[in-house]
Amino acid sequence: MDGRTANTLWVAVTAAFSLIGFIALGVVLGAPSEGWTLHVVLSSAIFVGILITLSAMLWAAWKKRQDGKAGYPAKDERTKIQEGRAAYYTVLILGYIMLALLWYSFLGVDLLDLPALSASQALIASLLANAVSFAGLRWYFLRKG
Amino acid sequence: MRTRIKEFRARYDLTQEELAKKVGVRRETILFVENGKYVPSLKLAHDLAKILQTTVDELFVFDDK
Repeated sequence: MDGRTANTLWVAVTAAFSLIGFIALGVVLGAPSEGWTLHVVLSSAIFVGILITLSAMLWAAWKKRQDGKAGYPAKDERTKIQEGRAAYYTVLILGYIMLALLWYSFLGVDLLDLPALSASQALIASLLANAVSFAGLRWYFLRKG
Repeated sequence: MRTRIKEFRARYDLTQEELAKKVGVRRETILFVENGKYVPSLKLAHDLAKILQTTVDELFVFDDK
């Protein structure tokens, strides 16, 4: 087995085990024993989002490798323009999401007595929203032309 | 904007994939340019015309309204 094949196999096996591990963790932690509370639902949703994001990243890396082997460039002028548009709108969406988190923090917690979000939860939600928004918008703009 | 890329491709028996590789872009880009959904840059238009042995004016038809 040559070095390149070994590296590819190592990456594939590591990715597969990581994905299986995350899925198992998500299933275990997402299954509530005390009933569905807002916290459990949010945590489960975040885990599902992480799994989907990881899967999409692995698929994108695999596809990029396939395209490279077929002789196509990873990016050309059209993909750069559409990714730029996707990034622009992602920044706008993320701004609105962070404003929403801010309003939740100031008004929801104090006035409506809603459960407070921890910093890590807010950060993870923002990061996931960022990743999902960009991935979705990139897919849409590239399909549109 | 209309393009005659498909017509010229058929003339030289080129697939979209082959044309994309010759020009150095992704296959989807050629597809979208052919369908008029993406307006290529001047450089890409020039490269396409060069590969298809024609001019940019012949390859891209703008319908003036």
